[in-house]
Amino acid sequence: MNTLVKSNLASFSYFVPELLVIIGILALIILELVFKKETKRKFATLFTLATLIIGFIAVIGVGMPKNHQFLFNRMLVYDGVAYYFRILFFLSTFFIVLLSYISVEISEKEYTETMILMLSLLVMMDLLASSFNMLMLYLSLEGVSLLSYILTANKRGDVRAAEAGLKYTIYGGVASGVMLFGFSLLYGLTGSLDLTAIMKNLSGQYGALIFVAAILIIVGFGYKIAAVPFHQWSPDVYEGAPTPVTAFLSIGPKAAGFAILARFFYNVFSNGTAPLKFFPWLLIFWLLSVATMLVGNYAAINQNNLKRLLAYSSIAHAGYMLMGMTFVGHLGLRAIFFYLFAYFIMNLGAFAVVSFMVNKTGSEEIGDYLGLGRTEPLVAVAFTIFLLSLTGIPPTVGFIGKFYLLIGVIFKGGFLYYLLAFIAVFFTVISLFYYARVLKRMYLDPVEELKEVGFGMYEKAYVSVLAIPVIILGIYWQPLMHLIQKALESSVF
Amino acid sequence: MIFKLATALTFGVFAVLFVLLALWIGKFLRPKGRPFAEKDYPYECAERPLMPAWFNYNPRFYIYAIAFIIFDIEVAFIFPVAVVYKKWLEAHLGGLAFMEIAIFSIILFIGLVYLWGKHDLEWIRVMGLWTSKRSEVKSHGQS
Repeated sequence: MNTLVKSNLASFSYFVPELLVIIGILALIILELVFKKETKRKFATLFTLATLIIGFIAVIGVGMPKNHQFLFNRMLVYDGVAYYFRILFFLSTFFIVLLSYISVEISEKEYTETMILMLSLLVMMDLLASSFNMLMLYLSLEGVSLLSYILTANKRGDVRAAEAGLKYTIYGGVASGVMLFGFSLLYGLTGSLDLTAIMKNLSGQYGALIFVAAILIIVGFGYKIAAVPFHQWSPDVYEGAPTPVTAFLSIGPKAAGFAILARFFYNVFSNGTAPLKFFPWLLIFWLLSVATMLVGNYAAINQNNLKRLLAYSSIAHAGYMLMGMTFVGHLGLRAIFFYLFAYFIMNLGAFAVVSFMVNKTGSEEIGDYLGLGRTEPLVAVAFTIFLLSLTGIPPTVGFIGKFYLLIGVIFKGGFLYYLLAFIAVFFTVISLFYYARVLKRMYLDPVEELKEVGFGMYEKAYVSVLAIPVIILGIYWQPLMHLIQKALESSVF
Repeated sequence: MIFKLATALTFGVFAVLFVLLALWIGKFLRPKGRPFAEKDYPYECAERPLMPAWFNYNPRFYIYAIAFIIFDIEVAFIFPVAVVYKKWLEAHLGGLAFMEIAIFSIILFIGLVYLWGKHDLEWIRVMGLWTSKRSEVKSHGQS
């Protein structure tokens, strides 16, 4: 008993950032009752930002470990990748809070609760990205899902939000139930919940059952990252949720989903350098990746609602990232992790512009972006940069991300991989069409009378802060790549 | 192994065939003609629906159910600790166990405080347009 307790106590030194955020959440719950109505929004935001900054300092303070550390009796693992994802999650939450602050879609009544839920989501994503035990994995995945449902449906009295929340809940419930069945099969075969122990106890004699278990588990992860054919919830949810929440869902939980997808499959179904012999790794992820790219890009072409368009584009990007999962090796992982960061910046930027437009004009239709290039040149240029980066045009970070993904696939070699690379490039070209439609609307379409939108300093500063790194990381991305390489070296992959 | 799966496969095939067969036979038995209006009701053979199902209803009971979870979880987690507490005392870890459970209870207690502060423990509560008049309504409700 003593060793168990000691291990738990020793783990706390690696768990400081999450503890600080949890304390912040508890304080915010009490403060919500004390805040005055008029100043509530400002104080809640300041307190949340302060919590995030202190937490981020703690993240940097804990730093990247030289070797991976198992925390809380192998429930969690703290390694370079967990550190990298902590940085990603803290940064994205920080920007989302700033976005929520001026959003008209989140009213005063729900504001503090939204902040509390976002901070809780941050903690859950951290746990998810570092789980190393199927029980912990399921708990944190469910935590992320539940908080996402509440955040989606929290817009009280809004029919679309209620519908989105209901669809999300039902779909998520089914997906996680199916995944749990897969877990139970694995547990039945191996008698363990620990990922490494499962890998050691798996053997080829259960071939078909392992395959079934893997497919069932992919349902759960695929739903989290919105991969086809588990994507049906995402357009409705993205459209119904308040725009800042949509932005959060498209970067935070998605990144956490990829982190745990990679961690789970690398630790259970591969020995770190090659997939287990009896496991059809390539088949599963190849099909998943191609289907996701196909449906995402094809469905995005006809969208007139910008939030739906970005939802389908987000599905398509999950497809690109799944290319990195089609083979086992650091080449694929570093590409995925790099792309997740790139996607965080550029997608957040695009959603920020959409959110600002909703604040000012109340519309999400592409048609209402007419003449934005003339009335709001700065925001329009930033939006152009984000959209071009999402397409993958140099010199933006989106290009570098796609480049690394393609490099991984091509270095691997073989007909299927070349075909995959070809398909990805083909769909990138198609994606240029629907992103460019927005650009055409902003710059080229004839305008009869200009309508002022009236963005203030806050909005302009926000998009600039995001647009500049998109360009800088497109030219000088080595520091980020170096960080990821170092993170991977100290990780249990 | 493979033969065991074959049983499952046979079962699946028969399940699908059964559905198709049942629908096919129904084609001969059911009355011909265009569907009538009752066909579109959620429950064809039950009460006639009175109004659309999309309306506001009072979630008081749900709120109480959620509030109950606070106490439920508290008992569910404190109970096992109480059972082994003696062993922990013998291992000189009593203080630690006590602190853990105390922190746990405080977190749950904050939930209760929040509920209280948000007036969710009051039975009569008016939402929406009349929020600003809440105090009036409350006094009226209590009288």
